Amino acid sequence: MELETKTDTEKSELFSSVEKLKPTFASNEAAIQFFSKKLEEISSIKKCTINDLIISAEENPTDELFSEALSLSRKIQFLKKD
Amino acid sequence: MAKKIRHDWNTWDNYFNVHEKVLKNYSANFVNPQIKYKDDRITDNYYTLVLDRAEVRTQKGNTVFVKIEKDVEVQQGARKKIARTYGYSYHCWQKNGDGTDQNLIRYCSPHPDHNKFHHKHEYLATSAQSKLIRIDDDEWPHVNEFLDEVIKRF
Repeated sequence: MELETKTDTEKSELFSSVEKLKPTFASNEAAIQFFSKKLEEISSIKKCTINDLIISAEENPTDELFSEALSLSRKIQFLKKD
Repeated sequence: MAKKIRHDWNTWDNYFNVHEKVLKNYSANFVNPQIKYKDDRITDNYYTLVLDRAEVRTQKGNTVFVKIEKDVEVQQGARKKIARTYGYSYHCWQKNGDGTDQNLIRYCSPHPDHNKFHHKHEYLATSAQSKLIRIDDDEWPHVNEFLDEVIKRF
């Protein structure tokens, strides 16, 4: 596994924050369930299927609900990849 | 010599250090030069970074908005933790004179059910549909490249 060679020896404020974070969910399944429910709620508000929601969201990402739908979809995709 | 992978694993401290450093490098272009990523940890190995609605001054004298989202995968490496970007969205838009939003460009990682490849949306003022540009697997931009495009082009 090749690692990026460029390094930055100074510890950033961002990394200091990141290394203290605790996971919000204990398992992928719990996170998927939570994010899927939120996605379904947006789909219900927008009166369309989740597939149509994501396709519409791609053309209207400045709409806050559409933007959130795209973000939720990516989260679920990440959690299902393993 | 093998071609260098642009979006390869990085040590996790360097991954986040570099992300902060890039924002600092562009601080003169941000209306709020102190703007920072919001970080979150979803599960053991899944972190997110979000830069939301950051106002950017361009070389043409315009102010546009960007939203950068990163889904970061973290694993235990041989000596220390390592990190890489798994999913992302880089979005740029502007406000019209009437207060409505005009999308400009948006880079997306592959979606699960459609556009299953890295891609870029070029939004057109004259159409409700964007022009879709496919991007090769490792050719999607780093954050600094996205910001360069936004600052020079708009």
